[in-house]
Amino acid sequence: MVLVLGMVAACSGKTASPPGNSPSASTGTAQGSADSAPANDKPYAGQTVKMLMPPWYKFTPDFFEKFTAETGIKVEVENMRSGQIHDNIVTTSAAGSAPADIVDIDWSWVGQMGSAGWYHDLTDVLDEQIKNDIGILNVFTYQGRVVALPFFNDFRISMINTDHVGDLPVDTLENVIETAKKIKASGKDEYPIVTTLEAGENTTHEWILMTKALGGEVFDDNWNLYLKDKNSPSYKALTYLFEMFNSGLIDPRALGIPYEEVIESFKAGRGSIKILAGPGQIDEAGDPETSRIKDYVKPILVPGDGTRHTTTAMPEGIMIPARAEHKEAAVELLKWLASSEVMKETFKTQGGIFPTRNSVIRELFESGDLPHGDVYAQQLEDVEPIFPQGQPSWYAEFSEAVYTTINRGLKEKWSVDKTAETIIELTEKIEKG
Amino acid sequence: MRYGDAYLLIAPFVLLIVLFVLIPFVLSLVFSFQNMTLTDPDNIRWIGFKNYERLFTDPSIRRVLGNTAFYVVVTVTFEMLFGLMVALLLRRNFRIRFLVLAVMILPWALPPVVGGVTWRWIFHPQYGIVNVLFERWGWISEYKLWTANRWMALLLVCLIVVWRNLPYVSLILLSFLQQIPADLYESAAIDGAGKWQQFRRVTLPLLLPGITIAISLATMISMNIFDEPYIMNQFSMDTMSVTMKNYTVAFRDMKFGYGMAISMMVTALTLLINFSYIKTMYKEEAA
Repeated sequence: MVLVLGMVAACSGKTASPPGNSPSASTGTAQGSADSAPANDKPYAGQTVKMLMPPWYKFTPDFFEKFTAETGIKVEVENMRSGQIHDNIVTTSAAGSAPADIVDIDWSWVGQMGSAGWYHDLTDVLDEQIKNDIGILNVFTYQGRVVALPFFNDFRISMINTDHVGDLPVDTLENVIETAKKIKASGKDEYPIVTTLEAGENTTHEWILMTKALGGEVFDDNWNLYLKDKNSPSYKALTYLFEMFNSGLIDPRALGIPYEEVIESFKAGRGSIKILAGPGQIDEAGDPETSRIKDYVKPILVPGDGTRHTTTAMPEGIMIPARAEHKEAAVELLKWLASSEVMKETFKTQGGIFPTRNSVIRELFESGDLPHGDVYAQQLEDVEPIFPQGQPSWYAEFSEAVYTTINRGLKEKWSVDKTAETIIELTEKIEKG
Repeated sequence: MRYGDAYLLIAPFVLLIVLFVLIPFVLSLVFSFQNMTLTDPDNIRWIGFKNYERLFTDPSIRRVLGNTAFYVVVTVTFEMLFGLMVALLLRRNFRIRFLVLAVMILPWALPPVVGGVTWRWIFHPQYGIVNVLFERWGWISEYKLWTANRWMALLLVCLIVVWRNLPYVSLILLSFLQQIPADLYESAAIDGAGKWQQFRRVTLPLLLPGITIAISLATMISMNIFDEPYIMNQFSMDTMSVTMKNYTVAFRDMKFGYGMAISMMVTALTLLINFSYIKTMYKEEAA
């Protein structure tokens, strides 16, 4: 580890480009505006753009054929787990290189990518029409610069198995707990609330989503945790989580089961209510080929406090690394992916990637191509960013403090107070810069 | 051969060691005294021993050091005990000895990730064979998450590490056992020494260099484990090793300076432990 760090650090230091000053941003050709039409209408023909994407992007071999025919640019897609993509970006960018020409990034990495300057600024690449059409663009901006094109609108919505839940109320978190207790008592489902509480990112998301659903925030404007206040929604959310687990409504094995296996469990009929879900998971749970509960999956608005159903989005974006080898060609591909037709096609045939352009969502709903579109439309009216203040560069450290503490607190049967105090203590130790 | 020729022959390897070992090590040491954070690349400055001071105040460091110490003590103990037993068994000639040797090496030959994933599925809380069998035999009433309890989780990781390293330790000890002349045992038998006395007075003293090497290597491996605790329990503090902590600090939090201080600490501890082994060996030999 000493040698790896030494070699990576030796190649890094001050080599990262500051935002907006990446070499190709100054060339003009990367901007691709109509005024700077190249002499050759396929100026990047023959180049191959490499994409690094997580496994839920199921691009078929013929998907990029039209793009290649139009531009002469070939596209190569490599699938890799999201965490591994992050590691690839960190190690290659620190060493002054890039893992691919286009990479998928999670919303939680924007602060890191932005402050390290590892992105090609897309502020002037995306035209105003597209920017105005993407409601969550601010999630992928850093200090006013666009770090990535929001591409997967992974907003959070809940889902139920109607075979277990029936007509029981699930509109508030309190009702969810009561309904889950009734389902458990009836013998229909031993652990009605489906989630993972392992020492991983999803545990943090579960708590944050509940906080938002209760009308709260995690941090104030000065980055102090609201958790210190026992009347705060974030404290209440933690209390609900502990109550669900300690009442036997959540499978104790959830402390060690990863996110992917939880979905499989739900599809197999184990579990009744999933608070932290998304359109992609609802799609998967309703897949007639792989799901036993395909006829019983129903999305519901995120249960809140009775006055709201606030949710948040944990979207993904497409970023061109600052040191991408084929930056201009990557820009062409990115602009193609941002078009309405391609976003629609990506949703319909390439893995159910929920679009980020509002006009596309509207068109899909009106044409009947968006299953459960009415519920989605209703939920999308109450979506808030996770951190209204912007993405902190130290989010990874904060998230680790949260998920390791919640996981440990549940395992060792801590009180909510002790768990909250530990999260506060660890968060205050983070050097926020 | 003249000395010049000899130096010329080893020059490429020395160059490789300098480029890929010495220089990165020195750079790591230098950076460990800086506040190198990848998210603030224009603000790198010398901060003295602050990163090292943080090692003493960071409660998570104490925890991961405790976990790592547990791994080292338990895995090295069992690897040496079982390794010696296996080596003694394999020293004998029997018909399928070579086949046993070939199969035995398999856990060591597999990438640690593959072994870790295999064991994870064996102990899987929903589908694992251990849960299936234990429930069928009435030893448990319902399927368990075996990593829910911290000590069980630590022991599980140790089990996987011992399973992986046992062949390696056995082969080291076997190679030294095979060098012990047979006539020493004959002489001991003539002098009236029983099996246990032969083991204590002949085998163990002559095996000491092999034991030292095996313990040193086993310790270094256990000090640096990553795959097994990660695969079994993700980033849970219950089982996080110091190498995992190093990874999260450097590559997730992007605090390279602090990460390098952790690396230096691990290096110093490993060197200290190995130095004490070697010193003990030379003391025994001199005695």
